Amino acid sequence: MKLSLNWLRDYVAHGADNELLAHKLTMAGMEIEGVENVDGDTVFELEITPNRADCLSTIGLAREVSAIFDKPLKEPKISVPKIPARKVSISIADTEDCSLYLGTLIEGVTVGAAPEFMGSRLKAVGIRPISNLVDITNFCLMEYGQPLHVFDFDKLEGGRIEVRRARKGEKILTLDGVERELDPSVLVIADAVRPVAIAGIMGGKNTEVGPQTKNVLLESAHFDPILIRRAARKLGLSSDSSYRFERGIDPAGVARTSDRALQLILESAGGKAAGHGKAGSTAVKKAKAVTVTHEQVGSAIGMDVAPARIKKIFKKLNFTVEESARGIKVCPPSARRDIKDPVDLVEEVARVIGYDNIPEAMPVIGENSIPSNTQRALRNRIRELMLAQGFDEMVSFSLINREDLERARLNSKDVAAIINPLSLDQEVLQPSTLPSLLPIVRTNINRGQRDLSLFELSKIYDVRGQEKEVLSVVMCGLARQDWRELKKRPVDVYDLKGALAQTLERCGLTELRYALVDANIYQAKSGVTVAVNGRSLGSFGSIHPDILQNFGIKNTAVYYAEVEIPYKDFVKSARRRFSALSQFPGVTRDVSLAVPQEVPYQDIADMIRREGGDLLRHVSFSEEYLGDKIPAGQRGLVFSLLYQSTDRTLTEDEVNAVHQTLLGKITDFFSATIR
Amino acid sequence: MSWDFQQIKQTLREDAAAVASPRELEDFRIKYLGRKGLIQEIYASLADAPKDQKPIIGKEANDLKKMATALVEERKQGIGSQPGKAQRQLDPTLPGVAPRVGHKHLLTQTIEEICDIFEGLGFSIQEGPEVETEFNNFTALNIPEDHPSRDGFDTFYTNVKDRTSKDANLLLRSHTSPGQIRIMQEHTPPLAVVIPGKVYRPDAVDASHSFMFHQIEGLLVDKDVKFSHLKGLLHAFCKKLFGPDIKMRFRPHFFPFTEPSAEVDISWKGGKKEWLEIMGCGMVHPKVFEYAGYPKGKYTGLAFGLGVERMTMLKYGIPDIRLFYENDLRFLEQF
Repeated sequence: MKLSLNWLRDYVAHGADNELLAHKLTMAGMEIEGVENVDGDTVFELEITPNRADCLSTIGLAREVSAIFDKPLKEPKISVPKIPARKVSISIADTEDCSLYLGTLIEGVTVGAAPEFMGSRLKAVGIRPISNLVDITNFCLMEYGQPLHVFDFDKLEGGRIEVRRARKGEKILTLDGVERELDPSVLVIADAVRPVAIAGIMGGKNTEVGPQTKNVLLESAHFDPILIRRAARKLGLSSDSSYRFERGIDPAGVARTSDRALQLILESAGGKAAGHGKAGSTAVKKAKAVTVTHEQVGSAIGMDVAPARIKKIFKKLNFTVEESARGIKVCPPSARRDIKDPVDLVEEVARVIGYDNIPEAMPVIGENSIPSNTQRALRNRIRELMLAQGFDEMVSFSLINREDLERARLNSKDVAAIINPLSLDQEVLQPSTLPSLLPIVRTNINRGQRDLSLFELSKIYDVRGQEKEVLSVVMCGLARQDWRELKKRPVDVYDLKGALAQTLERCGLTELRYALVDANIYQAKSGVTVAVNGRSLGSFGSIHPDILQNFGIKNTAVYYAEVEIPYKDFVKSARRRFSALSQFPGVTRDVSLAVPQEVPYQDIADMIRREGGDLLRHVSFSEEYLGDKIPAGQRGLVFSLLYQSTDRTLTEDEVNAVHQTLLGKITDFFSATIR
Repeated sequence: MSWDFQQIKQTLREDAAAVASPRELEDFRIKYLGRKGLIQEIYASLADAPKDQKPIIGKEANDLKKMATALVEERKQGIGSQPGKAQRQLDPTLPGVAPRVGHKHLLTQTIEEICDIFEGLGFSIQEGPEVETEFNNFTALNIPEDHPSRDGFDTFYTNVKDRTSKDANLLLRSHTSPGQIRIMQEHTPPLAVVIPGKVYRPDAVDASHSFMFHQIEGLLVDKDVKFSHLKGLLHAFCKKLFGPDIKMRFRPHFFPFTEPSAEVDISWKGGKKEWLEIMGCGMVHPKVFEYAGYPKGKYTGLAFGLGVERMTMLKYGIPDIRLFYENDLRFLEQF
């Protein structure tokens, strides 16, 4: 809302300089968002919150200013001649849609320029002067907040007005030059045969006033806010009128503003009031009285305010105030449709006292029925573990382009999607993080940052909109360098697995299972699923080069993981028990096996642990060997086993017996040979 | 002759450790491994040793020889005995070598910092889903359909049907406030909670707007919560986050779910005179309690909500919101 300070001074002599005025308005809830100078006038751009429709006019703001500075409000004197009894036919199909419609016929007007003061006021608030008749309706709109319209009466078929719903298929060419198709959800002003305006939003070309216009019908009406809002949204057409109707205009202003416009038309365009029509009711429903006690005010804001002060505040705001047995009974003016409950009155008192003048106090928070958040604790732990292993955290968008799913070889059909996206880049709720992470990899590589270890904790969404929290990891480029070592080595899938496994294991998931999986986002034989308690958490692997190419990533492998954060499994496995530390020396035995290629490491390690007996304390893996010393179709695996007892020093014989039995089982079961 | 092998080994190690030059190394070698050195002498003594001692002395002599040879090699490396090759000396100014620690995203840092402050003040932290119902996102927050108060909340709607409501679809929450509703539906006061999370609005992306961003919601409900508590609490918070010199003001505003409502502006001492808006807040509207199913008039509460990106940009002087989501390594590594 633009406020011309020259215009404001017509109604209230507040005596404040611009800076003080801006400050006071801001602190009363009407924030000054901008200040500009227009031809010697200062204009404030104010943010008027949706509850304060009464402030969408210069007089409405003048009323606030008068209350803030305790200065009288001077409203314009309105005097109109007696209008002859000649009737203009006006009908309203449904008074729910339009509670009041006033039409005033003015004959013999001369269309020309508006008076200079009016033009400069309008220019100050950003409205282009057009002609005296149109400018007067705009002037009154900005003065009182009541939208008006003028029709060329001679173009109204049948010389009558019907307020009705549009018929299906009806069309109107609006004043902005666009033809619009209407339907029964839209309220129109029609003459005997056709719509001549979209009610409360914009007039039609067919009855527009022009230089030749002699007789006009002046409209002032009250339309249903919801109906206007829906129509404006549906038609994608918003105007100064619809903005005010949507927020609710002062019902008492319909007749007053009609008179004000008539007065100004007669003054500047001549002619005479020749008749008028009315449909609906001018009776303004009085706002419901609200009662508040001074104790209520005091305990709500935390400051004692004397009853006399409260009453004075309401009176300044033009509320009627009565003392009742239950407290202070207040009736707001018809323009203040936002005052409905005692809390609304509390706010008015707080606002006028000034929030700055209300004391501060610390609330005492003792008991709290909200439990602490274990999921968040686990997520934080995962984050810290990933950071500790050198991964940088990303935050990426969770809405993606559907085509990016295809580029990533993911299902683009069975996804939850936005039905009103602003751009196709934000159409789909990501079912996987891959499409939003690959562009981040590309951006970094294109900027010369080729060695990446990144992770994100975010959500993915299924077709029913169900959310699942996942840990995503991406790696590419060279492994971190140590200047003492000359060899450079690219990261590989074991770097990814190591970080992922360590993170999950340190969160208590010790029984993780890994298996090759044929997933088309990964290169052949590079995809791996991770499972816990027989349930898959997700997968990792080397992203297929076709996908990398689709995302503009060249000449590098990209390793990616996406695993669910397993809250349930975590809680169960978090209960750990102490195991005794042995005081006796242990015996280490290295085992070098040649095993058939297809035997997984895990199977052998599991057997060693299972069959190693009570004396086997620890198994570690030291080497995978693929050389010419190993027969074709086999690979060498080297384990290091620690035997140790908690109650005695083991003898060589004892260890040898256990160890040899174990080796026998392994070689038998896996067709392995000891090297 | 009997040998104290323990003592010999000890002396051997000490002598080796004392070697500081090629010359001394040669002396060390001759003393132990030379033709008239100690180890030769031990071997020579085998001939006269008692029969049962012979294997022990032989084994110990072998061990000593191995040890001494290894020590000579080791010291050779240590003192760089090879002529012509530069010796590696400790340069204390060379970079140390350590595993790299990653960088926590700045938005996470801000969220944690803010949550920690409120946790310290007695609040719990909870989260809610991003895919929400119309009821939780709007209706229960006193934001009726077809009301201009919805204008501030343009919202993404999904193609997923809301099973709790006829003809309605689920939406992406346009603020974290529906989290309040979920909390109140499940818990009875007294309660104090902050709810961080992602929110979505159909805003065109530019330097200060994004269709996805983060908010933190706060809610305190008890029997006697006052507006003065809102001021006290948020002032304490601002001082903790921005430093004790921060200036703060409460400016009346409108939110459908609070009454009275305010926006909080801050300004730095000595900084620019202008006020910067950082959060919205107010006293929970009785209608919201009604929707939550609380008995009428029993409780009062305060609520607040802040934009994480905006707060972070103000605090660190970040000019463009897109930097957060681009994840350029140079950005991530700064914080």
